[in-house]
Amino acid sequence: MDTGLRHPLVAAAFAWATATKDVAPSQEQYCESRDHLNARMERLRSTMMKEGISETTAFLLHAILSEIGGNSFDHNIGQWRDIPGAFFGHATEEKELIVALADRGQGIRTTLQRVRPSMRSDEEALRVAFLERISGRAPERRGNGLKFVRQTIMEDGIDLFFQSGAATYSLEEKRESWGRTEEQIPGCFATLTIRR
Amino acid sequence: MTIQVQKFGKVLNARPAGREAFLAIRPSLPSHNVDAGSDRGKTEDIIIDFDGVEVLTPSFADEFVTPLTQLYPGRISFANTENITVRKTLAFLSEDWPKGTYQS
Repeated sequence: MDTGLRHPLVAAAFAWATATKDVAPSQEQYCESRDHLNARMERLRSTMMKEGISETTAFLLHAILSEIGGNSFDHNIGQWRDIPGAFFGHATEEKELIVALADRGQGIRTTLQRVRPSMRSDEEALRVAFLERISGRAPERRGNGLKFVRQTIMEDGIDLFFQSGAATYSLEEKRESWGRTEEQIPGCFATLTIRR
Repeated sequence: MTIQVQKFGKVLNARPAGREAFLAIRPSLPSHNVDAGSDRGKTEDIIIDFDGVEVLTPSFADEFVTPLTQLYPGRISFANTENITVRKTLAFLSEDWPKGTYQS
């Protein structure tokens, strides 16, 4: 994560996700509702295609971001810790496109404990979220989103870093790793990198 | 019966929207006629046509397509699934559908 955090956009998202004060992010990055998030994802897709990124990659990234960002709203409605909504921003660099998402919601472990109370650690929760089909709001069908994200980026070469609580998951050049960090994120935080 | 999915939008990416779309289409489904005692719904196939859809996610499709596969086992087919997100979403969800519902 060190490399990614050096980018101002990623640093801003991380700082917002971990801040103790409930200050909203800048208007350019704050998605108070799902409609805001959808509008920003549409704009990003348009930007990608103008910059020569393939339509296929643009569509795929839109779907992946929809699943990650949608989780912020699906699982935290009425249960935000303070500020509702999500952080969403992107930065276009010479060799890559970076997207950052974050929320100040309940986080993966708390969400999954609703259906699996025995879950004891952030690491276990993150593995379940990315590897197992489980519902966070049973008996509704939920919980496939991150598994789809993992499967898709494993096939298509988009890099991902994801953190919730102290647990981290990263997928870089199709190599994945699971970890633990000291700096906790109560909600969720994700960055995606598309190399040109 | 053919369901033109793009009538619900070109970007289909949220669970609540999928649920709304299914509720909207349900009264016009053949099952409606089964309930009313007609024979049409017992034999009519359902074609789900993705022409014009730009983005489809599992969240939307799990609320819209999955219930159709449960209501009409063995009678669902798909058209215009060339879009990458349509293909990947259907392949992903089909692991939980009745065997043979979708061939990727």
